[in-house]
Amino acid sequence: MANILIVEDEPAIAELVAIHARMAGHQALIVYDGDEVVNSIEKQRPDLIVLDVMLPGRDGFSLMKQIEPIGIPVIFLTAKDRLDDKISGLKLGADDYIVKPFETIELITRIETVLRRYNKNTNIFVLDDLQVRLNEHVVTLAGQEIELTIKEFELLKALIDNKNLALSRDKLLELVWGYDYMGETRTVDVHIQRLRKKLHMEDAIKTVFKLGYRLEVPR
Amino acid sequence: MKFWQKAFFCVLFVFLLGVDIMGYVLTERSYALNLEYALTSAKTEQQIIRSSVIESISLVENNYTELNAENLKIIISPYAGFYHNQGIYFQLYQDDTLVFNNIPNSYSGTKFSVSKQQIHTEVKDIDGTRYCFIAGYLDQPHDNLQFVYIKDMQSLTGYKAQIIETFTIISIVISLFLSVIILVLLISLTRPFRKLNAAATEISQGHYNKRVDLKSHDEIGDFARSFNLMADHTEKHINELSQMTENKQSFIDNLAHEIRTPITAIVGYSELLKYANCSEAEKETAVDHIISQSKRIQNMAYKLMDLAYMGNENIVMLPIELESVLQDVKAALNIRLREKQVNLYGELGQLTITGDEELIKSLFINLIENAVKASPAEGKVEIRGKHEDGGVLIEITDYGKGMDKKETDKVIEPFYRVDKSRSRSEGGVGLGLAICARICQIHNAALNINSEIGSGTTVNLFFTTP
Repeated sequence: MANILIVEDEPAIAELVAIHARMAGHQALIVYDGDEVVNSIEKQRPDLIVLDVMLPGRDGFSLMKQIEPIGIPVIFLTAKDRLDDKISGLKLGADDYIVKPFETIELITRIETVLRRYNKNTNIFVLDDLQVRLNEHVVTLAGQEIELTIKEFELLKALIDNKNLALSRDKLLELVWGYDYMGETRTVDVHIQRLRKKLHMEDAIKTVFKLGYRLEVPR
Repeated sequence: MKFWQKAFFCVLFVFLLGVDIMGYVLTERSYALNLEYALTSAKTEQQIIRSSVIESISLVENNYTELNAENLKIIISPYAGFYHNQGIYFQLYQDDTLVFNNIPNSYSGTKFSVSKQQIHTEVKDIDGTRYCFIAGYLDQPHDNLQFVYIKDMQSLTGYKAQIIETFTIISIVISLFLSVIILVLLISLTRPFRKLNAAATEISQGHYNKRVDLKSHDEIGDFARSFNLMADHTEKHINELSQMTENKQSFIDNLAHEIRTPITAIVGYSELLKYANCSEAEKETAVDHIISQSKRIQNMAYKLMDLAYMGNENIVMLPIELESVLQDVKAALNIRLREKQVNLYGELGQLTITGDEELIKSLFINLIENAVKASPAEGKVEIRGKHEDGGVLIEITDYGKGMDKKETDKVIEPFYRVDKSRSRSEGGVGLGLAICARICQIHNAALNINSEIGSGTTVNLFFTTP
């Protein structure tokens, strides 16, 4: 669980990011004004900052210059889609740059990636008897280690990353098998069945009618 | 071929033609006059010699000497000898027999058929030499003798050739001289054309600020002035067009940017509702956001349509009592004013303007709303109106935040917002002043904004059609 600071003057967007962050199991705090950011960093000591560029008060680029030496990872979230904006944002030391409109799954995946890069994400996922050590690729059920194939583990990881969100079979194929995989969505179903059986996750991995699968975790 | 080259060859050709025709006519005339003179003097000379010859013959006859060929030869020989050096020769026929002939070449000649008492004149070329023959019978009783006077006229032919030669030389020299003068004149006369051409070429390559610098007062000067006038208009229109294109582009960029946030929110919350196992509270938040962001897009669409179609519809220009408009505006903004506890002062008395009442109302609402937004809570907004310079001047003043000079210039651009977050949270889409500017344009009114950071903003509206 990480502490995420969301700096965005649009309440609709800020809350959207916050809801997703909470859904992924993080804590989220919203700041609407550029002038309050520094203050908020000092108080909250966030693990990651999602930063808009055009803000009332100080703008994102000038804030970035101050945040960079502290070493807190930053993801820019902005409507500025010009390449030179992107380049100047990344040059200032941002870890990623997401342009509006964005897909929420993309945002969550990028947040998870950055957190993992900084080892700020919890390495261990626990659900009832199940324990998954994500970095070591070790899965135990009530203390017993369970053997998973690479694809099964990746599929489990994709579900954990996007917990409480339904992922379509196509999305799962893309996340686990890659864009260029030519297989059928049946492959996903087969692997899900195996995961459920091996890990006793029949209840946790829900089949969402017409959509796909969702790992449900109490919030 | 260039114009100056054409003009050069034409002038030279006409000049040479004229000079040559004149030369030809003069030469011919001079030759003819000289020939006539020579013939006249030859005739006189022939008369004199003929008289002398007759005298000599009479003298010989008086001596009862027989007038045979031999004697006739003897009689004429002294004359022939005397005149030979002057290029004058004689022939003498007795009846049909040639008794004397001293022409220096092989010409033997024939007797001229001429009646008695008459003189026959003839010019003949013999072996390349021109001779003048004057033939006539002697008087009675010697009318069986035909005396032919022959004069060498070669000098006259030579004279003609010499005149032609002189003339040719003169015409060549003058032609050369003239060529130089014409060339210099033509090149300097056609310089303005080359200047104009250079300017036109440069303009055609996109340098629309290029002008021709010609001060002359002739047709070319007029042309240059018209050309510059044309270039002025072209430059103006091109600048207007590129400005318009630029504005359109920035408008589209801004629109794309403005529409991104609500679309992101709507798509994001919709996906959240579809894919996530949301709590009831989360579901409600999501739906609220979807509704408010959709309304924002709707609002933007309406304002954009206002901006685009305003002026295309039938606008009814009627006299409007500004005070009654202000009362309506005050009523419409009442809630807004009370919410922020801002007081609106001022009245517009008897002022009237000509305009479309709905548009003028919309103009006032937009401007007063802006003033209220800029004002602090419990602040005040003032409206004043007066006649000035034959028009009506209206001032809307607030004592709020104000803005700097850079922003007052940009503020009527579509989507430009001074305080982005506040404007959005109050439901603005950044088109209000753009709409105001358009309404003013339709009414031929001037809209000016004076502002100072910290002390407030005054908007001046000047209507020229009261």
